[in-house]
Amino acid sequence: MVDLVIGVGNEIRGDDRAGLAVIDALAGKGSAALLMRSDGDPLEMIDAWQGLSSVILVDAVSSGSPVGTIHRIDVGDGPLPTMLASRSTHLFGIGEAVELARTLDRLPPSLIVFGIEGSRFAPGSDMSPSVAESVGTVVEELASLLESAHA
Amino acid sequence: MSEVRRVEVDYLARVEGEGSMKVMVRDGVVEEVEFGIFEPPRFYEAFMVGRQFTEAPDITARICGICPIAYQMSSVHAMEDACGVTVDGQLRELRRLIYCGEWIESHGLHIYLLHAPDFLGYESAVHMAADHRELVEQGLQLKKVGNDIVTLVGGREIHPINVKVGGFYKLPAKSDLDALAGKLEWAREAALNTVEVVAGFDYPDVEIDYEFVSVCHPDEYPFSEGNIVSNKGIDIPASGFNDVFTEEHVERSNALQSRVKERGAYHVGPMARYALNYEKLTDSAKKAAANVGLGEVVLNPFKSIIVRAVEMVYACDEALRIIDAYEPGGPASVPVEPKAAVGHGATEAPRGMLYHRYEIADDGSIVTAQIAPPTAQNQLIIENDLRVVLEDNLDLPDDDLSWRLEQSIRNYDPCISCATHFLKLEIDRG
Repeated sequence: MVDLVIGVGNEIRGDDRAGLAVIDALAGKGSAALLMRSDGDPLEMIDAWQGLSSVILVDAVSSGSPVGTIHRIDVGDGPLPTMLASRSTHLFGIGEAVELARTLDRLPPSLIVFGIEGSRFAPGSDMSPSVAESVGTVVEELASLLESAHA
Repeated sequence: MSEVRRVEVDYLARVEGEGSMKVMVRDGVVEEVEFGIFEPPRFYEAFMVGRQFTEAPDITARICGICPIAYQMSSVHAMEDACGVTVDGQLRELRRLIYCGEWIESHGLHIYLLHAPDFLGYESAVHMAADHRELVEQGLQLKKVGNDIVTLVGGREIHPINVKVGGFYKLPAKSDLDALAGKLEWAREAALNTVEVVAGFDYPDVEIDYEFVSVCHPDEYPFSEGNIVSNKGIDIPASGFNDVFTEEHVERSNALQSRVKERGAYHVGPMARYALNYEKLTDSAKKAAANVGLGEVVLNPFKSIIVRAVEMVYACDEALRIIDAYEPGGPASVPVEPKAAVGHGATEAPRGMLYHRYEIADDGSIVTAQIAPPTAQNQLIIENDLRVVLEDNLDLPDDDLSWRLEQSIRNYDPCISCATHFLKLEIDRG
């Protein structure tokens, strides 16, 4: 059973909207799971999943894979394969927030990351068509997962 | 043959290329120092043209995930200035309260999770957490108390939606604010402890003669109101910003670099606020500073972390004062009618003065927008600091030198690119 789905992103940065778009679509389907839009500080996730068992995180990613590729990563298997910007001067990244939670024993027992490969991240850009298509695919997959869990 | 040393760091921000540092030393002489940043506000200035004046707080709040209140406050003050409206009394107090929340949240994050690892010798807070769990947990908890204030008064933790031109959409209940008091009492103790903890770090021996600039109010430690003042003679209303300061485009950076027209680099942020407003701190904040030997003016940029901790004590005191005096009732906002005019707002974001200027038309549509964020204003002084620190540490090996220089940049808690959160993945296809 999935307790919480978190969509991460920024409304005005093209493909970076992917995670938020997934949450909006799930909300429109009347999902029973908790849905959260995270468009600011990733550290807020650590509080949000406190006490929950199963969490799904949806985010745009940039790995060099074809645009629209959907990555499914079980965080329980090990660190996110992310280039941690561990000396970033400002906000924490998603990867750092996850790894900090792991170090502090504050990861939920199950955390799955759905990463949608993007390419357009400039302010004011539109979402790539293949990312929009993948958003739809992830929404269908999660909707069916949430539905079966709550059936 | 000349000996050339280069130190280049191009991963200052989470998004490659958006924040970078480059220095070059030839034959022991510093030849080049560059701190380059990408700056989202320039996009927003164009994005807002044609939008309604009432939309400015919601739009500008999206520029930064960690200081949305600062953007909202500078924008609402500028719009109210344009429309000839003053927001006073309880609404003004609530604005100070929400700003307290943002300072606690932002300073807690920076002190414990971003800057302390530099002093304690860790790559990041993730690495530091393994050995100093209690420090990281205290930082997260302080940050959460700040978030709780912003959530309650602002309506939502990130990108608050309850702030509007003229006041708020809805006022908090007295009981809700009272519920924060206990958390703030804890936070004040934690902030006092923070002052002692960070004062115990080792500090490089350096002092720099800054031109400090901050908002100054006659009676209060500054958040949203007062003249723009410096320790070298500036004392102007916000409307005089463009008379005294200039923003120049620099080739290597997407940001505009600010300077005092007559003199050059200046310094905004906690050290500037503290130096120019020390007398208006609460007694407990002053006592905390004195207990660790902090004078009324701090010129060592590495000690900005101590000043931030003292400001957290102040923000807790001030929040508790406002909550204690809060009496619900009265309208949540005052009416604001648009008119063709220009308005200015200068408020104190956690990392320094944030200036907004808007020209609006009779129908309330935005004609032009100007946003001068604190990090763009500090860009030149950060480069000056890098030069000083570099010259003082030329004997260090490259890795240690790079560490010290990056630490120097983090003295300013720079907001380089706050608006992109996508993951960068490295996939081993072997």
